[in-house]
Amino acid sequence: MKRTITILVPAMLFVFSMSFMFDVEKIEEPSKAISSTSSKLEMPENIKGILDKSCMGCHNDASTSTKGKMKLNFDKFNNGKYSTGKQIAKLNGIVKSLTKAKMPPKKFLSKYPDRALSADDSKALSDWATAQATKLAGE
Amino acid sequence: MSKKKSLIWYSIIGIFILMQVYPVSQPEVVKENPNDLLVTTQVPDNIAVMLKESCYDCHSNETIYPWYSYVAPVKWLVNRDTRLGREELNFSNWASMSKMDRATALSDISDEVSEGDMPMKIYPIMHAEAKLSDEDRQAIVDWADELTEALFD
Repeated sequence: MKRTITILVPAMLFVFSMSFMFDVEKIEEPSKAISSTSSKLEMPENIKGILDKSCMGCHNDASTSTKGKMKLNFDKFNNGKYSTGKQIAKLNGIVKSLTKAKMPPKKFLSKYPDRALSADDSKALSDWATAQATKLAGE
Repeated sequence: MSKKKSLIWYSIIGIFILMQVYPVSQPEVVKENPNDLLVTTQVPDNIAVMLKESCYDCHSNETIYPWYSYVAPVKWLVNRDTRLGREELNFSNWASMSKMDRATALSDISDEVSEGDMPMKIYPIMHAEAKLSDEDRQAIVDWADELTEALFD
């Protein structure tokens, strides 16, 4: 009886805690060396400013966030590592992340509140990404 | 058995029963999906099998719920992962997605499968057939990348 309890209780706790384990994400420091946001993409100054403030901490070659870099890397728009289809996919991904207010991540913003996107920033960025994607798609 | 021990035992059983009756909604299974990727798009057989075995339980309406997914607390985990998986990408809705959304989905598939982020590590523990070898992963990445380009040809 006692043994059953000592096995059953930790087993149940283990299964339950696993459901949270897989959600944990480490928040990285934004990289100090902000790589140039100049790109083959048309990038007006206001967009460059927004990207540098809120996105470039993670989304470039110099980033220490493996996941951030894998999901979106602005350097790869320049150096030919993103094919046309991939560029369109990533630009549309920006729009989707902004629409769902998934980016910048909440944990990141709790540490760096001044890097938040205003509603105007978010709209400007989203409109820009949509226009660039549409242009690349030749539509 | 002492009174104290049996009290502990009964409370555990009580908690377990309460966990079972706690109402949670299980994402619905739909068998007929005319907009499904595999219905509307030519996908090579080897890729289709891998998608079915490694992805479709969470990323389609055709979830196959194993018996233990009806038992809390596993039930909560399975329902949650299925719900979130479908929200992120649902292959059953493929043809109703915009071309750009399909491109983004394929790009995410390529990135996450090559990085080993998908399928989630917990999934193949109970689904051995879902495990992907390096060659399997490469085949999925090549397929997804090729299809992404083909969308804009």
